[in-house]
Amino acid sequence: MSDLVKGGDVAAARNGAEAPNGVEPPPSKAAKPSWRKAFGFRNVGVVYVWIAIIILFSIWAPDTFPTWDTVRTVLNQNAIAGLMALALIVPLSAQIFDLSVGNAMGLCNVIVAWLLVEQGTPMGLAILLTLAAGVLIGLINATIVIGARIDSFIGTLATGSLMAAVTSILSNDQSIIGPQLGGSFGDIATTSVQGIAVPVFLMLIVAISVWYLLKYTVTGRRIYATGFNQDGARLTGIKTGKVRYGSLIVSGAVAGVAGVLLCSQVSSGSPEIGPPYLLDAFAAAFLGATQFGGRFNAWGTVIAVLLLGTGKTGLVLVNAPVWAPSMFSGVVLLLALILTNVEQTMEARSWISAKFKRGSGDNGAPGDGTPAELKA
Amino acid sequence: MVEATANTSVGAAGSVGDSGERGVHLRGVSKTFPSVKALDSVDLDVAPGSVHALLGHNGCGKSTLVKILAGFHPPDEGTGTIDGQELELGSAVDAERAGIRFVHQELGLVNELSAVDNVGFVLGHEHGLLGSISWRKQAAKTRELLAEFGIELDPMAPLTEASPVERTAVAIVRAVAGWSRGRGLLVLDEPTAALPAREVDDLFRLIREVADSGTAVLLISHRLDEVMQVCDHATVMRSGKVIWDGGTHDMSVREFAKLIAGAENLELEQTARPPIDPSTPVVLEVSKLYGRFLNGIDLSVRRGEIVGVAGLLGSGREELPYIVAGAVAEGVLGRIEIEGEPLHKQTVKAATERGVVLVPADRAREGVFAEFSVRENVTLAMLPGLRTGKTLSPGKDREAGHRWLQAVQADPSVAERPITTLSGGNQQKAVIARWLSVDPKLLALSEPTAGIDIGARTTIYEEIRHRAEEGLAVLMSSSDSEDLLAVCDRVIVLRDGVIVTEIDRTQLSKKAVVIAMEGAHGEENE
Repeated sequence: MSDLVKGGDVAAARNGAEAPNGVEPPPSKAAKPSWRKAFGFRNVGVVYVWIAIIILFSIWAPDTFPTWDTVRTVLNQNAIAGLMALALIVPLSAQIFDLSVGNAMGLCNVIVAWLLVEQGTPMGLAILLTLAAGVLIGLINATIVIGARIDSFIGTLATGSLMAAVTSILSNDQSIIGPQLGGSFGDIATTSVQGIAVPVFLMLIVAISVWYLLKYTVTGRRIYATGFNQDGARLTGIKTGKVRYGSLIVSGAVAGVAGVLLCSQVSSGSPEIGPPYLLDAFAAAFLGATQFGGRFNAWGTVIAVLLLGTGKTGLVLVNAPVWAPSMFSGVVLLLALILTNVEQTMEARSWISAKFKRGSGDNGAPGDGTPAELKA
Repeated sequence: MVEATANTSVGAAGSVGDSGERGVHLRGVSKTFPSVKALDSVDLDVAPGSVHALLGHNGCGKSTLVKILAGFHPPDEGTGTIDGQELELGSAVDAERAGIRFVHQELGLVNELSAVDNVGFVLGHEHGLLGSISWRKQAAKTRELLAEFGIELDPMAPLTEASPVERTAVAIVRAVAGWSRGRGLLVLDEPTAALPAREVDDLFRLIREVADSGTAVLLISHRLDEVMQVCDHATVMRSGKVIWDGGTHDMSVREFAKLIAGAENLELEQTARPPIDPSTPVVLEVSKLYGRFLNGIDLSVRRGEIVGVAGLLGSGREELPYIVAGAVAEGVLGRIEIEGEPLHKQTVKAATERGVVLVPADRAREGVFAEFSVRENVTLAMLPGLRTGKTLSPGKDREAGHRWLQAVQADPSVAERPITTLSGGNQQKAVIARWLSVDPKLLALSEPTAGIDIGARTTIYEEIRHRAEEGLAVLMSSSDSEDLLAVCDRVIVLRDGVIVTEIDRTQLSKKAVVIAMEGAHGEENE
């Protein structure tokens, strides 16, 4: 490290002494002030949409919507969906689509119920084995996608189908229910603090971990680098295979956690329960990726999950028709993506005109057409 | 740049007399973007049958001019005529009607498809009975079009199997076919950027062929030696104005470079570097190295030495820096020693840990992470050093990005911008900064200045030389002999995977490099 500092300092000093072209004092920022950027639609647009939805339903159902009960319901009912979305964003950042995550969760859900009810496994061991199954699922996915070099989109579609088959075999295509799923096992997901249940806290812990991983670790930066440009990452000495392998194990493990929690929450191991989570998880991950700087990230994803959950809860409270929640998810996702695009375009325009006004140096001219250096 | 004298091998048809009517004539074209005058009353005359160069730095206005010709921007003022007819500037429809065609640097071809498909997209298809496409007729037509330019190519094979020059030829054929030959204007934007030296000549033959039919050709290129070779006329722009216009015959590369750069310091002439002391420790020692193209080479690079690698495409020139830096492992045999210790594992990580790093050839695909900011691009290789405990420190990250941008003479205020908003030259500086930041012992570079304007090139050369003075060993492979002439202490020339010559700095000249490279070519023909 000290070597690095020295090398740079020497160079900087040399450049300072010779005053070559290109090194100027940083020009005054002609761009937006940072607070406007931080609160701009592009950065936190989903939060605005969320607030708008809260206001809308508060007016629509003033007696039932703006209450603590609603807050608790939204949090408790979406914690597992949030976990699923968070499970996706690590592989997605490395440009891997884990389409098996819904089936993986469903399988783990059935495994834990099967172990407890039909095998009579003690609770701790059953949970441990299920989590191990989640990791194993990740390993299998990784071996298919990275080891056998099969495109993740197709590869995980295939493994997902296999998981669905195993789910059917274990459960005989029926929900597994039994007294073992109540009691202390049932308490896992239903114990609550101030009405906020354990899964919500687990979601927060996973969100913090993913946020820390992607933003504040070398591995996180390498995951993004692998996703953005795999060849480039390889040539930078990043073990892209390892990074991608690991990312799928993360999604498998989190799917395992979600499966156990879901089983505890609904007191049954149901073969159909997992797959419907897939689409919402992807929607939230992509909606979240439009926020906080435009890459897959933990908090954007959590907020997206809560936004979708708030809307759906609100729709129930105003007795909306059955098709309304699906319609709502689709419209919100499209709207957020379109608005982000619009703001990006506007920002690009204002950036270019600012560049013209400033007319400084040859740095940053996008290609040849921008006559930024004409004044020089 | 250095000794290259004007080699004006211009065909007879290039000498064009007065032609008031035909060709392209622009008068008083001005264009102002918000608060900047991009073009200031520009006149341009491209004679029919001539190959005309449009030269200038990035940002000099030549792209704006081309975009106006293409009808992408309307000009504020100015008129144009083409082949005696009024040309409505700023109208894409009118440009198309008047026979103005463009071949862009990226060619715009679908490489997975065949020549027949690529040509068919533009020129339409031949139909058989029942209205279905007749692939037989279509193939015959395409073959015919290509044959007109002396290109023999399986028109049904995907273009991935074709050579770069053949692909360029398909793009040109597609552009010029379908409008009456001998009229109109063909605009070529950096057509040689992706071509190896040997194939450039084939392309130029093709361009001359187009010009000889009477069509006006406008060529945009950063490679001045090539301009001298194929163009008979040139227009030099700077700051939105035409500052020089005339024949290329009595100009030299150096004179053009001065015109383009203006006041900017262009001294590519080597400052006398002391010869490398033979007792200086060897950083890289390669013996009996085999690869896909390399066929057993021995090479050593000492501390502070800059060794150039020249050779034609397929000579092993492209492969050598990649192998040395561990980026290619398949089929690699031989011994690579770094400071006397063998490189055990043929991986980038292992090589980087031993202080050997690579600035790859294809900046867009291998060098730059488009979605990362400039800072993230710069600090990617040094990340472990920017931690506090296990946590990546945003403060250290910012500071390092800043410092290393400054170290390669780039403006550090761009650090938080997406790297794609930078010019090619500045992107390359960022990639070089990334690798200098790990304090390497040997810097391997491939095509370090491809598609970069003279200003940024000069900076990069300067930076490489400075680093070498500080003790960095450099292995630079390039198809652009200017790179080699500008900085190298000696140049090894590869042919068919073996070193055929080693040219010392005292004997180093463009001619010497080209002769050694092309040597095989001449021998084969004997």
